[in-house]
Amino acid sequence: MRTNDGDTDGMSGADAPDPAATPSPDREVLARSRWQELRSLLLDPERRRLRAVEEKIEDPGLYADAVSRVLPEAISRRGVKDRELTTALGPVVGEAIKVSIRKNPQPLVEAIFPIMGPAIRRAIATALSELTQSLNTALEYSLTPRGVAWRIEAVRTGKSFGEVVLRHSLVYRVEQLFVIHPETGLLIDHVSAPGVQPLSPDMVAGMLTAIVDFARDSFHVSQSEGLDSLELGELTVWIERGPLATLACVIRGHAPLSYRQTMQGAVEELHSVHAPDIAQSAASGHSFAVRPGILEPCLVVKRQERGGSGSWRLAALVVTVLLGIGWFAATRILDGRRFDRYVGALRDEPGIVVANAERAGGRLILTGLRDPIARDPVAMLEANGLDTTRVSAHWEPYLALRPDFIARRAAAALQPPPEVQVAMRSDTLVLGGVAPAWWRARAIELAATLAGVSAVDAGSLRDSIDVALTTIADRLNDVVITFGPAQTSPDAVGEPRLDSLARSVRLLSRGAAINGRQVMTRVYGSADSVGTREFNAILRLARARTIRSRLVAAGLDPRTVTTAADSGRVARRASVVITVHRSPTP
Amino acid sequence: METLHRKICLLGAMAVGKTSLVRRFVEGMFSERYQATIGVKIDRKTVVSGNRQVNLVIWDLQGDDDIERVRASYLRGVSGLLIVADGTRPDTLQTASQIRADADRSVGRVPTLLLLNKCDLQDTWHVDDRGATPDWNGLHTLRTSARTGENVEEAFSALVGRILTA
Repeated sequence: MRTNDGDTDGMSGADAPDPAATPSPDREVLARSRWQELRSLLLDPERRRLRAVEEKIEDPGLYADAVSRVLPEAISRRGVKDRELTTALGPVVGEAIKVSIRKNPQPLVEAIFPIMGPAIRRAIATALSELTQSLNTALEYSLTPRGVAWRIEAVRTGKSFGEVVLRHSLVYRVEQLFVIHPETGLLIDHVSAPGVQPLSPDMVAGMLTAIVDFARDSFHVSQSEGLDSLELGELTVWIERGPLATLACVIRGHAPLSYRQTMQGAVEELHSVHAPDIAQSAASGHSFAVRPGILEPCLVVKRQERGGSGSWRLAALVVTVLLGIGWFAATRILDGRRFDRYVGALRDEPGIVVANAERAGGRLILTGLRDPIARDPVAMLEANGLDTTRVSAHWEPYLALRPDFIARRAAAALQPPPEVQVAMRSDTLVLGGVAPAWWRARAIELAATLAGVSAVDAGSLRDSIDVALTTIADRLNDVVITFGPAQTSPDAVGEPRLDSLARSVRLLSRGAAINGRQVMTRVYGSADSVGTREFNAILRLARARTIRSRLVAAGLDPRTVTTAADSGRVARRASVVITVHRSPTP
Repeated sequence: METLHRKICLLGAMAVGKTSLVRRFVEGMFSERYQATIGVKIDRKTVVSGNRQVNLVIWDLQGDDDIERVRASYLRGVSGLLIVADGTRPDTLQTASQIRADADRSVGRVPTLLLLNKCDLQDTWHVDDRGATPDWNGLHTLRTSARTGENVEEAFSALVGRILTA
């Protein structure tokens, strides 16, 4: 083998003579030879080692052997120190795998086959489960008003309806967490949400374990598989298994499948932190406290995004509906009461007979009989809080034979003067008051034709002429004509009264004669107590005669004027009693 | 006070009174009405033994003659067994013996007591003296009555004692 040591190589120096030799060549040769020998003695071992190193470096086979001895250790050390090696190897390894797969994929397929099956199964199961949940929710909401609103939102936002439904409806609350030792079914830890009253977590943990075991045994599945969830009405129990501990979460509502990841994270952390504790607890029966922060993330409360508003709207809707129902019911009740009151009033009303009263479409339908002179039913509506739009009525006319109605009909037919009273007593029309004779005659005639009138009693119906004459006569009867003591002629006061009386009686007499009446006048004379009894008796009569003569002188028929002594009255006076009589028929 | 959690199981033939024993122990009550247990019924009771408080989770397994049919998985992690027989039915003692052997195979030797239940029915008691010896086939045996409560507390306490000293 050759070396690069050209300048001091003893061997090459010995082979070639030195062109610049000194004048004593033997000595110089000798000195050089010794120098070379010394160099060899001193440097040859180092040179051999250097050559060996060079050979190793230059020979790929030898160099690879050398590196392979330290490579695993070097990789391990560097991996601990930092991530440089990983970073450096990543692309290379990735590329290498790609190249390898391109060249021959079979080894990789064989390598990953055992993990591909479960991974694919799990992915498909998850996707199907999400799809099913989405479909279920979509179907559940698709026909509701909310569903329609969400459909509009889906169109507006360009998202699928399922996504929109999921976003709105994923409301759930994790109420209880059980950390269970799967082997014994003993409870390791239990956490419940505020306000949840757990019932004997120990028993629940045991029963859950029993159920899982039962299901697993019944269907002959492997120990690593088992029940993932239980559904109990609104509650769902999700179970996430680890080798040493099982986490069971009691969920009210619909949790998203992403919550599984939260559970898995908790189980993993539980094992990471507490694996020795769990194992020791299972062996000794001693419980231990799970480190805070591991289970709490699983205690999730997820409210609907616009839950408050939705609740408010729902509450408002409910209140509105209730108010509407209340208003409707109250209206119906009030209407019912008004209708009943109105029908009652109609039934009590004289001259109205309600044959049928029924309600239809919020209106009152009435049929019956009504006397034309009875009170108008329409006028009675307002008093009962109703109007014509709420009531329709059909009244057949009829004649009510009530005494008051007969009397009213009689009054309407006979048109009596104001002073006449018309009434019914039993079936007899009773007329009272004052009326002209012609009316009286016509009334008696007409009344006999009125329905319900069998007889007419006009006995107390006075002739208006008689009443007028009698009234005047009564006034004249009050006139007192005074006399002086023992005088038979009126005194100064009595004289003008006598003149007036005489005129009035004469006029009355004429008026009476025109109306077929005759006025009879009886003059009474009185005397005071002065004087003898006989004298006074004469005096009384004399005074009466004086008056009579004056009346006759005034034009009265002497046959209609009589005199009399009024011994009962003690006074110097005279007065008249005028009565009106029907003239004797000629 | 130190607190422990332990799982125990009651095993035995049908209608020997396992559920009644548990009910008497946990609730202090007894019912004449027989209701077969399907699968397993789980109860819990805390008992104090010495200075330790033991939360017993009691698995009352469906009565059956064959432990395999009783589902051996229910026995996993059990700390103690109460094997119950009916003193008025000698065949249940035979079943208990078989069950014990099966349980031993399934979960190994754990503290176990044999309870001869219904000891209040002395007129119809048919377990002979040999069968009723306190140590039957190596098992500590107690005569119990779920109806009267006789030895029920003692049986559970004895099992807990054995579990704690095991």
